[in-house]
Amino acid sequence: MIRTITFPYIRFPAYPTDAFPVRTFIERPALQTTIEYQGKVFPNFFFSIIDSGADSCVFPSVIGRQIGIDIYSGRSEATVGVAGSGTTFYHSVTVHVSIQGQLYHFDCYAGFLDGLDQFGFGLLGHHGFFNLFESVTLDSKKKFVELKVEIP
Amino acid sequence: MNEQGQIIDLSELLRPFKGKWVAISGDKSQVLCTAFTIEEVLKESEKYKGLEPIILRVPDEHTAHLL
Repeated sequence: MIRTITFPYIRFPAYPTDAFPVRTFIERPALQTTIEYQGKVFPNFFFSIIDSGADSCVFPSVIGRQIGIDIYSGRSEATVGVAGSGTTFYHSVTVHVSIQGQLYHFDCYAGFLDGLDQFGFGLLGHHGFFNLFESVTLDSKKKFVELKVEIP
Repeated sequence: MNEQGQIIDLSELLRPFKGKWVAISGDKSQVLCTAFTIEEVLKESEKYKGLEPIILRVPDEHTAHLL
């Protein structure tokens, strides 16, 4: 049986730039998430963006350090993306997600990237998130996300 | 759309806090506290545990998302 989970985009403030001088907000497909490492859970939710361009799930290093992850001890991979180039360090965590008041969790070999610290969001990418679902639809026109998950 | 169907609009709620870490209530209706570091906002948000805080950093300027 396939279950469909639908939820809306979130509108965040944006500030004028040379390229987009009149844009005042940006709408992103984001979820409330938190992470757990060796039994220690980050105490608050934070937003993570469902990112079809991300190969894996990546979180700000500063969030990982709050729950005792020795970031630089993880296996590393060079990364190019939102924060320029950098090195992402991977650790096994559990990701908790709140969707419409329902809590879900999944184990994830997730990256931690210093360059995301100033961004303050996590990224939910293909390895670890998209591959949990039969399909992930980002409806950028109607501003909603649709996840189809197989229920055994 | 909100969680029942309408977009969740945090743009005006968060706009005054450019460059700061912010904790908002779990129902996304109010800002609970703000700080310049994640450590400070986590400490301050402990007072509001019952409101299930969500933390985020409001950008200094619009940041393109390219990953």
